[in-house]
Amino acid sequence: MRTRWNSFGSASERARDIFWRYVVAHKTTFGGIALILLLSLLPLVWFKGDYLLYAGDINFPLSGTEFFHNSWHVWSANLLGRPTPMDVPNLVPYGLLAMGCDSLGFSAVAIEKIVYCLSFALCGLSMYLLTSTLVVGKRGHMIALIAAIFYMLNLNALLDLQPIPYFFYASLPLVLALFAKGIQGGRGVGYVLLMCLIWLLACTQAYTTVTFALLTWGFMLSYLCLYLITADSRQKRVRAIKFTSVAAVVWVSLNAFWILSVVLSEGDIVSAASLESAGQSWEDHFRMHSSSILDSMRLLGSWALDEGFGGDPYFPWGSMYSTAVFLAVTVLAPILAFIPLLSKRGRDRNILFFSLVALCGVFLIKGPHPPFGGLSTWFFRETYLYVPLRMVYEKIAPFVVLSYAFLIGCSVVLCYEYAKGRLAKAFLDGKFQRLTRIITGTFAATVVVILVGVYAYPLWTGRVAYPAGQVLPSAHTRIPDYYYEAAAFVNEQSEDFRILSLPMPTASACAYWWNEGADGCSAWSDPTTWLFSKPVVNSGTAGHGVAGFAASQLVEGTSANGDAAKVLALLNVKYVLVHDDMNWKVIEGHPYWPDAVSADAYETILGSENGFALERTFGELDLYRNTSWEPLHVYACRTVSLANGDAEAILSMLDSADSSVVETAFFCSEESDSAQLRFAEEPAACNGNGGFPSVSFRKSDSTKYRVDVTNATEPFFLVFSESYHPQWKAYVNSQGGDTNWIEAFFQGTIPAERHSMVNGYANAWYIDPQELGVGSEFTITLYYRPQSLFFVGCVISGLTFAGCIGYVLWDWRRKRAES
Amino acid sequence: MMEARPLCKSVVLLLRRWIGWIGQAAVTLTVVPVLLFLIIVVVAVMLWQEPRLSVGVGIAVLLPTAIALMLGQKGLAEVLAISAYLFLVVGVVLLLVRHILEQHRGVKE
Repeated sequence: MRTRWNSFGSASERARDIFWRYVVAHKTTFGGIALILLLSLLPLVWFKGDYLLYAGDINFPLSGTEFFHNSWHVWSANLLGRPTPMDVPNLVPYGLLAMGCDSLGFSAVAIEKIVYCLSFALCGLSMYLLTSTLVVGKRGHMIALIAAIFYMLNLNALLDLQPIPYFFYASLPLVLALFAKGIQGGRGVGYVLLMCLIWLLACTQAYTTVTFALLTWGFMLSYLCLYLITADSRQKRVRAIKFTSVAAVVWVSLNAFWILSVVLSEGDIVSAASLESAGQSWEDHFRMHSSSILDSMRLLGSWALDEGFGGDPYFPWGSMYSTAVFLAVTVLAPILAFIPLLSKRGRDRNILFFSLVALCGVFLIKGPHPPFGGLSTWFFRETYLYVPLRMVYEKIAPFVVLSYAFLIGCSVVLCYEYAKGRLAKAFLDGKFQRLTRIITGTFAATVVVILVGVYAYPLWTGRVAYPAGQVLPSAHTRIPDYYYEAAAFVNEQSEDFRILSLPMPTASACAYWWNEGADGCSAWSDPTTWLFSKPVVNSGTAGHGVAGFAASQLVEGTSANGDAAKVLALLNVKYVLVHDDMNWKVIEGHPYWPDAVSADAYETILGSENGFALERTFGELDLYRNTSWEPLHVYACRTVSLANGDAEAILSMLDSADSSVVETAFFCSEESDSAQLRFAEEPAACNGNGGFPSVSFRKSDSTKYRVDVTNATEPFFLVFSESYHPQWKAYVNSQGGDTNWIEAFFQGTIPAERHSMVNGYANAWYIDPQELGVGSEFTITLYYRPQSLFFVGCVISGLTFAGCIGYVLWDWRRKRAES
Repeated sequence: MMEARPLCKSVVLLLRRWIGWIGQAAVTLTVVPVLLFLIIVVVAVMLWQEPRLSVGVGIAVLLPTAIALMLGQKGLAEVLAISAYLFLVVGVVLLLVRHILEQHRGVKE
């Protein structure tokens, strides 16, 4: 027994000894990492108590679990329902991280703090790894440390500080470091798998914007090209190409879960990216988001830096960068970045590569500005690059910053070495070496402090979080309690309905004024979306015009016959939520809120309009109930009406309709083709001539509904109140079963010509039980089929993931056994 | 005869003037391009021999750019920044080409 304890004790001592010896041997590396980790706590300075950072582009998800759940489905029930294949990459890593923290009981503020600190740490560590991979030598660690700190603390980080897209910026050097190490060292399959796994876990979130994935690959392939050109043997070239090919295959397989959904939903993505909807030509957009070559080189290219709203600047510290001192400091970065080219190391492959990337990046960012502005415009137009790179500064700046960080790290150390050696020798004849070292060291440290301290000072002082202005509220946000009370009231109701929020913007945005702006909210994402478990119709964005039309109809008060209530009933809207806490200084006259009127005006309108009754008031929120509403998510229609024109033609028909619009389908001649309209005239049941079917449904998730139909002896229309999309499919099961995601590929659906748009937005299927041969009782599964593609992608990714882990472990054990 | 002399004189004068113009044009059309060509060749050879010169000029031009900015001369600063950028591009491209050629030469040797 004693022997065992002794051997255990000696083993532990030996392990401790080995560990400390390792730490001492790598003390510079550990020191650098410790400093980076310490700096990664800096985001804590930006927070104020339990206030969220939530403003402008910083749209932090208020519920991690909800965020994960939404990303898991390629159809969102919000608004009137919309395809969301682009949200799938959110699953990794942020979705998993947020859900994990949420289930551990962390608050949204705590999760936001964790995310910022983690992304900051990732940013510094990955740049440190990249630089120490590429620079080998005596001062390698010092170069890596300066590069890492500059990469964490610079103007681009300051201008584009959004927690979720920040993951791309943070993990970009990591990906390049692993890739460069792989092709230089001619690593094997095990390393490729490990690299792709790390890449997947660190960076996937950013690919909600596919351009970032393409740019990352473009960046790595450029590095590969340079490597192939400059490699000194054919064997090295072949190994590098093999490594890249295997990496590409593994990466595609691991990322299949989002690639499949995204590639096959290309049409939805292109229409979402359409600039025409914003009423702006691409040339205007291109000019607005690019900047002069001077500003591009100084990393001050964001259009919003000198802009503001209603007298409040978007960046309150922006004016500081127009003062003489800061003007000089901002030119310091490009000067330092190109100094390494002057040294003998200037012919080093990596220095040349990053210099070229920086110059190419600056050229892209400058867009139509001189020099060669016409060439740039022609290039962007002819290559269609203006579609993926329509916000060119946000997309390209990370590559310029990465290059600058690497080059500046090299530059500071080279200047220090030069001053310490050559200059001291020339002027002091090699005397006072200690003093020379102190002076040059102090000078180098001052340059670094100016670069990372002065250059991006709002990151240190916390001014990066917007303080309250006269018009724009503070970025520190605390949602008032009455929002939670309203959410609790709505969420406890079991029925399936929507809530219409007023005043309604035409695009996704919100502007609230809480506590005199000290904790207000002005962002692209309305927090009510996260609080209410029922879908909130809070914007009339492209494709959901009928909601905006209903809202404007309410304001105009076109008639007092309850038309607005009927239209909203067709949208399955049970409640109208009127905000009395709007930021009127922002929304008055703003093009996003053309129909906004005050809460008092809404009170008058809704009070005089038939069909609305004030249900409850929660602080500054009034909740009106739509008395025309009946559960209309999935129903069989009683009557069919054909409106000549578009969705607005429904309004004139509602005037002449009966008092109730329940179980009515309105076809619009402009939104259906002749084959679809043919069925509008056929079903006898719809016109009350035959037995009427009874319909009940169960929602599995936002992409799948099981509908049980009984007493269906005659043809009828099944209406489904989600936005029309041709990929919504209806599967008929005579045995009463359900269609699962695999069967969805093979099982027949109701033909496309029997699927049409009704009520200006919803789906409807013409069902003829006799023709289908299903009897009077059967089940219909309504399914958004792209969800199956997502699951197929998940299977491919899961199998590849398991294979990678298995191979890496097996390879590790084999090598261990061999050694 | 009396009438022919002034005519000859004027023809001679005219010819002389034409020859002068042609000569001048010939000199202008040959010497200037030759000079320009020589300057370009000399600069190109210089830059080819030492591409860092172009980078150095680019960096050096960034210094007056900062001063112009501080003095509020935004237009001048833009022009200087453009020229600095072009010098840097030329320098980097030449450095890269030389690096590639040297690598290949090294491999062959």
